[in-house]
Amino acid sequence: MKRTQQEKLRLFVVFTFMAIFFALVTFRLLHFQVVNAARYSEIVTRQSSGTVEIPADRGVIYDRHGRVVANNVYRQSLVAYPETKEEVKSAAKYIEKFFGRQRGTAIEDYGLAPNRFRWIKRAMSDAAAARIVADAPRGLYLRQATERKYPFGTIGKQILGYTNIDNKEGQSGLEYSCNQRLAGKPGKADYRRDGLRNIYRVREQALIHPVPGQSLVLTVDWRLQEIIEEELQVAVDKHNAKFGMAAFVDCNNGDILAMAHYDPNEKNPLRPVKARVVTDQFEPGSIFKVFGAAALLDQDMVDFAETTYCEKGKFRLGRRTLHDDKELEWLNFRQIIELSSNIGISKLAINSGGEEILAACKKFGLGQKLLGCMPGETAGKIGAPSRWSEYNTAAFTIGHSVAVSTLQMAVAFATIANGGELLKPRLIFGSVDEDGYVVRNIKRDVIGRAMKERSADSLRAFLRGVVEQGTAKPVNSPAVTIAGKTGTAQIFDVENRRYYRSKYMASFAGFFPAENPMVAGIVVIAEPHPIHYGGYTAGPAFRKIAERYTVLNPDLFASQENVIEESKGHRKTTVEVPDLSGYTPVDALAKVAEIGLEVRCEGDEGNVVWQFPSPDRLLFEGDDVLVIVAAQQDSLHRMINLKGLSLREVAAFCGFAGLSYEVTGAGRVVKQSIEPGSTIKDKSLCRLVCKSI
Amino acid sequence: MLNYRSLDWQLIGAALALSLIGIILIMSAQYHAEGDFVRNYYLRQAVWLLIALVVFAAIVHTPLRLFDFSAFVLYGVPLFLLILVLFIGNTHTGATRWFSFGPINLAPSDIAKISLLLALSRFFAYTKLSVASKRRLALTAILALIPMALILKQPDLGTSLVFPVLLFILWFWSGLSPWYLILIVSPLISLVAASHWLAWALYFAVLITFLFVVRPGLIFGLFTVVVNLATGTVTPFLWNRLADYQQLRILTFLDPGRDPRGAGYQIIQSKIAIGSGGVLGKGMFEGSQTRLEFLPERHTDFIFSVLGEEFGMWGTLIVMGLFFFIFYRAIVIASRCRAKFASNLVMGGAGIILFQFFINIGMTLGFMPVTGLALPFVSYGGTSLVLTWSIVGLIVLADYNWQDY
Repeated sequence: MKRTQQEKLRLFVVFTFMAIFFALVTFRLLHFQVVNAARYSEIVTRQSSGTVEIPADRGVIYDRHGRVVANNVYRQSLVAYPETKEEVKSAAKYIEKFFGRQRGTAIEDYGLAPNRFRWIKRAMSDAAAARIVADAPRGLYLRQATERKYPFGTIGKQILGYTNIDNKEGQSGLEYSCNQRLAGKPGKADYRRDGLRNIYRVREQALIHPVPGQSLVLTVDWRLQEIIEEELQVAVDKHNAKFGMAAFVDCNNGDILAMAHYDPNEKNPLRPVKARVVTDQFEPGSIFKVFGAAALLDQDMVDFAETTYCEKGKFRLGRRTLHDDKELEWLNFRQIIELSSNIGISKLAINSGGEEILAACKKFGLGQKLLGCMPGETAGKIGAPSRWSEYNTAAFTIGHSVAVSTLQMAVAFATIANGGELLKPRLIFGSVDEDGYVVRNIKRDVIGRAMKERSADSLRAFLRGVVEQGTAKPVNSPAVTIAGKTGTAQIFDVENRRYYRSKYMASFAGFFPAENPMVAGIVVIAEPHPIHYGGYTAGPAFRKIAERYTVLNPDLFASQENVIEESKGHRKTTVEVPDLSGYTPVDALAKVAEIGLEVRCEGDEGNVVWQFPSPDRLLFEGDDVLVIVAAQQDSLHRMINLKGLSLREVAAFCGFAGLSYEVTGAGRVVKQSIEPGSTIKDKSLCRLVCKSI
Repeated sequence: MLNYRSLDWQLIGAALALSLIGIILIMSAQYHAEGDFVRNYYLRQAVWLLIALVVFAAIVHTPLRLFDFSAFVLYGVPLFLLILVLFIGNTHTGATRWFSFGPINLAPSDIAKISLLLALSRFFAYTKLSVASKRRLALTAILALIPMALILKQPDLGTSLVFPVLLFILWFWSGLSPWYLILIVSPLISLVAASHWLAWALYFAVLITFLFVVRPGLIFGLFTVVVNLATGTVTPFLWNRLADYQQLRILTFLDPGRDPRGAGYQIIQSKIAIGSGGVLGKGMFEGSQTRLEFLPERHTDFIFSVLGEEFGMWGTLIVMGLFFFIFYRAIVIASRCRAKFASNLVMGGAGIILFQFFINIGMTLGFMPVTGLALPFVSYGGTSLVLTWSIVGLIVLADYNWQDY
C-alpha cells in the first residue's frame, strides 16, 4: 500500500512524539538511578534510620560495710510528643481524664503543641504506667528513666550530694565531684523509622555499648553517720544553737568515718548545697592550743615541773589584755592544757616565738586542702601576722586570727592520736569492679610527721587529763575513755571588726579510746546559749557519739574489754549471735534461747537460709534475731511480713531478697506494699510506711 | 472461526508480561503491610487479570463490524452511568467515582473512555475532517466534552484530561492540520503564560505572528485571538476559583520542595525511592521506602516507584521497553489498517494508554503533576485493568481484520 505524503508526515510526527516521550523518561531515569543514586540512597538512610542514646547506669555508692547509700531505680515517665493538632487534642483530653483535671486546661498548662516534646509526669507508679500503656492515645508515650535513690534519706546526704532530674549530672557532694566516674558513658543504638514516624526497630546489638558508671565504696560508716547526725541535732536543739558540725576519722589510716553538719534552717536537707564540714572555716579558739603545745613539746622547751604564773586571769600585752575564764595563778604545763589557760600557754609561746608555732601548726595540715574529692573544700587560713608582736603570738597560739575547717581539726587530732603522723584523709575507699570486687584505690597515705612520737604520747596524756579533771569533765564516760580539748571561741563580727560579746563557737575535739586511740573527731556547736562552754555543749555530744559507736562496734574495740565491763550495771549484757544457717525453726529457737536471745522467724517451711544480725555480732539479751526459712538453700520466693522490723533489718532483708525499697516515715514498719506470701519478682520495689513505736 | 495463529501474539505477550509484573509489584508493595486484606491485593489483581483476559477474549471473538455499528449506542450508556454515579456513587476521599457492588468498585469513567474511543473512531471514519467543516469539529469536541465535564464534576481532573487528549489524537490522525491543532491548543498555552503579564504579552506577540504566517482564515483567526485574550485575562480569576488541593497540586508540581511534608511529600518520596534503587535495585520485598511506608499509594499511583526501588534501572528499562513495544506495534497496526474505523480505534486506544503511561511515570519522576492516573497494566485496579485489556483486544481485533475495508 502506498502512503500519501500526508500520511507519512503524520506517522513521522507520531513517532517523533513517542521518541521524545521515551527519551525524556529515560534521561530522567538515568539522572535518578545512575547519576544521583548515591545521593538518594543517603537520603533513604537519613530519613529512615538514626541513632538513639542508650543511657549508662550511674554507679552505686556503698558505705564501708557495703551498705547501699545511693542507687538507681527505674521509673516510667509520661511524655507528650503529639504530631498533629488532632493528637494534641486527644492527648490533652486523656491527660485531663487521667489526672482528674478540669476540662480544657491541659493544652495550656502543659504547653502541648504539634511536634513539641513535653514532660507530663515524671516517675509514675507502676500501676499508672500500666494503665497508660493500655489505653493512651497517639502522642503520649512512656519513657523509662532512672531516678537516684538514697535509701538512708537525709543521712549522709551532704557527703553524697544529689543528681539532677535526669540522673545524669551530680549537683553537689560526691555526686558532683565524682560525676565522671559515676556517670559512665552512654552507648548508641541504631533504629529504623517508618514514614509514619514510628520507631520501627531497634537493632538487637548496640553500636556502642554503654559503659556503666563506676560504683564507689566510701570510707564512711553509715551507722556512725546516722549517730552523729542524730546527736548533732539533739545538741543543737538542746543548746538553742545556730548550727552544728562534726567530723570523725579513723586515726590509724585517715578514713573519714562520718561527717555532717546540722542546721535547723537548712532549706532542703535532701538537696544540700554543700558539706560545711569541708567547705566552711571557723576560728577554732582553745582547741587550737594543742598545736602550740605540740610545738613546745617538740622543741623540748617544756619542763613539766616548771610552773607559770597565770596573772589571775588578766595579762596586759602592750595595749591589749589577755583574759582567762578563771582567776588562775601558778600552773604547770599539764594544768595549763587541762584548764585551758590562755595566759599560761601564751607566755610559753612568746618565749618560743610565733614563727616556730606557725611552722608546727602547718605540719598538722592546717592551711591545706587535704581531702581533694569534695567540691568547695576550704584550705582554711593560717599565716604569719604582719609582725610577730607578743600579742599577735599569743592570739595565734590560742586560736585567734586563724581559720580552720572542721575536717582539718579532726585530721589534726587524729595525728596527735596516732603518735604524730599526718595522714591524708580518705573519703573514697575504692571502687567496685565488673565482677563485684572492691578495688581499693587509695592506700594509707602519710603526708608527713607532724610531731615526735614522744611529744604525742605526752600530749595524749594531757588531753585525757582535760576530760578527767579539766574543762571537759562532762565528757568523761564510763563506757569509753575519751581524750580531747574543749574550745569556746568568740565569734568575730565582720561588719564591726570586733568580736561579739556573747556569740561563741563551742567545740570539742578529741579521740577515743584514750589508751589506744582508734577514732578521732570534733563536734562544733555554733552560738549555743545560754550555756556556751565547749565542754558542756559540744563535749557531751562528742561523748554520746563515742559511746554509741563503741557499743555498735564491740569487735572494733575488742582489745578494750573494760569498755563493756565498765558499762555493766548501766547496760544489759551483750551476747554473740550464733550462726543459725541450716537450722530448723525449732532448733534455731532452742539454740538462741540458751544464750538469752529470741527469734523472729519468717518464711515457709524448711531451714534457715538467712539471719540478721550475721553471726558473731553482738546483741543485747532479750533482743530478736530475724531468721528466714525457706525450702531451698539461698533462694527466697515469697515475701515475708516486715511489720515491726526496724529499718536496719529491712535494709538487710531487702539486700538479701534483691528488692529495692522506699520508706516513708521513721521507726518501725507498719505497712508494706508487697503483701506477705506473694511471690517476689527480682528488683521489684517495696514501699514501706514506718512509724516510731 | 478465528484463526488464532494470525493474532498478534507478540503484542499480547508484552501486555501479559506487564500485567504479571504488575501483580508481582503489588505483592511486593504491600508485602509488609498489616492486615490480610491489604496484603492480598495481588491476589485480587490476579483475579481481575483473569476477568480482563476473558473480556479480551470476548472482544477478539466479536466481529469488528459490530463495534462499528453499535459505536454511537455504546456512547450513550456510560454517559448515563456517569450521571448516575454522581447521585448514587461511592464517595471516597472526597471524590464520587465508583459504583460499589460488594467488594467490587466499578468506575464508569473507564467505560466512558472506551465508548468515546468507539464513537469518535466511527465519526471520523465516515466524515472527512477539514477546517472548512467547523460544525464537525465542534460536534466531535462536544462528544468529548460531555463525559469530560461529568468526570470533572466528580471531581477527577486526571481522568477527565484523557478525553480531550483522545480527541486531539484522533483529530490529528484524521487529517486535521497540525497548525490548527496548535491554534486550538493556544488558549492552554495562554493559560500558563498568564501567570505573569510579561510572559503572556510575549506569547501573544508570537501568536499574532504565527497567525499571519498560517493565515487560517478570518473567522478562525479572530476566534483564536479572542479566546486567547479571554483566557489570558480570566485565568487569574479562575485560579482563585480552583479548589485548594488543585491549586496545591499545580504549585507543588512546579516546585515539590515548597511543601515537603504535605503535597510535595509524595513526589519527593517517589523520587527518593526510584533514585535509591540505583542500577541494580534493592531486590524484591527489600525496598525500604516501600516497606517503611514512606511511599504513599504504592500499589496504585506510585507502583512505578516500587519498581524503580526494588528492581533498579534494569527493571524500569524492561517495563519501558515493553510499553514501547506495545506502542510501536499499535502505530504499525494503525498505519496499515485499511479500514479508517479500525485505524482510528488503534491509534486512539494506544493514545489513551500512552497518555496515562506518560502522565503516571512523569508523576513518579517528578515532572508531571500528581493527577491520580494509574499506570496501565501495572497499577492495582480492576476496571482499569479490564479497560486496558479491552483496548488491547480492540487493537488485536483491528490487526486481525486489517485488510478489511
